Amino acid sequence: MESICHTDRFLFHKLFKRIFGLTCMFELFFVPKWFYGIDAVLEGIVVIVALLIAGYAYKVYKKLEERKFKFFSLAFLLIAISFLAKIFTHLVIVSQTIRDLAVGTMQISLTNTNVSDLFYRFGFFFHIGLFLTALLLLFLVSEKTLHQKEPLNMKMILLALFFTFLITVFSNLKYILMLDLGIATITFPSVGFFYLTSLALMVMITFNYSKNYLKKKTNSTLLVAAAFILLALSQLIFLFDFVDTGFYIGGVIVELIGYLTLLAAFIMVLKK
Amino acid sequence: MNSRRSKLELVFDILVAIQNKGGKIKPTHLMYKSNLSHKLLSEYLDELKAKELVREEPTDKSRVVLITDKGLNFLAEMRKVKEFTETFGL
Repeated sequence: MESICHTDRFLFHKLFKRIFGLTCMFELFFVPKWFYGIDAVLEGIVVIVALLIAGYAYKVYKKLEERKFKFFSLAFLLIAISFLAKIFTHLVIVSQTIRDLAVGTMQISLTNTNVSDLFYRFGFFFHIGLFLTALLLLFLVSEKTLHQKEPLNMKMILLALFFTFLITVFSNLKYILMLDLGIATITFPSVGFFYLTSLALMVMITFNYSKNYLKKKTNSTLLVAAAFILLALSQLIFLFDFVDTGFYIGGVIVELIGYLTLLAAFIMVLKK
Repeated sequence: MNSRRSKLELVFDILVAIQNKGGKIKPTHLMYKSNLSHKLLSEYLDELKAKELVREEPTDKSRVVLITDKGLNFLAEMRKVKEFTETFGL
């Protein structure tokens, strides 16, 4: 009896390690090796755009003390930090690879692999969590639910944050969902749930900004609506990065164009 | 649906009304243009004077309210904030 329990515990431990991907080098995002560094530069531009918008919104908040500006600023600040976490994680991985090449071996010891994995996980846990929280905030701001003078609906916000946390944890698992349709089997990595959630949030934000454009009919509101359509499209492209790494590259480029469109709208505002 | 103007919108309307009249306006005209009661307008004007955004000058019959350079700069900044608010649907 005791030996069965011991075996069960051993199996559970093995299963736990397998699910969390701690036994071999884990790759959450399907990035071609030659693209490491290039994506960091492109995403660095996203960080700058997000910080510019966050900074201006915060300046307006300090002047007017209206909480909608505070939340809008916070959303873009979280986007900037989430991308910084991703860039930093990727750069550390690249430098690790360069170090390994320099000593003439690509053999990474088991200990190093575990440390690299944990670091990788930690970095992307931050990226996913902060990015989804930022989109949730942007959605609530665009819905105008954070505008009222009444107290915030904390229960609703905490529930949304709880689900965001759950999706973040689940997206970091080394799970591959296999759906047998009889004629074909569809495989779907767990990180896809992150893209799926961010796509859903982006679509809802896009819907609100499209309504805003139809109401105002100005060039700047058109640019913002177009920017969010591009950002939603980038999440859709990322969803298929496990099929081919080309999708990841396409997603990063469309995402960058989306943020640059947002920057164009912001510059248009400041020039008036 | 909240149709009441925020403090920012009220200040913006007051300053725009003065600017539209060439930077100088009679308090009674300002009251009609900004659609405010006498009491409320006096309160806002006191605050705007304290912040040096407007100043008052006596005339032969009564007095006029003038927008200062600081007030014009503030108005330009507020126009950007308004545009930012509209552009990003805030």
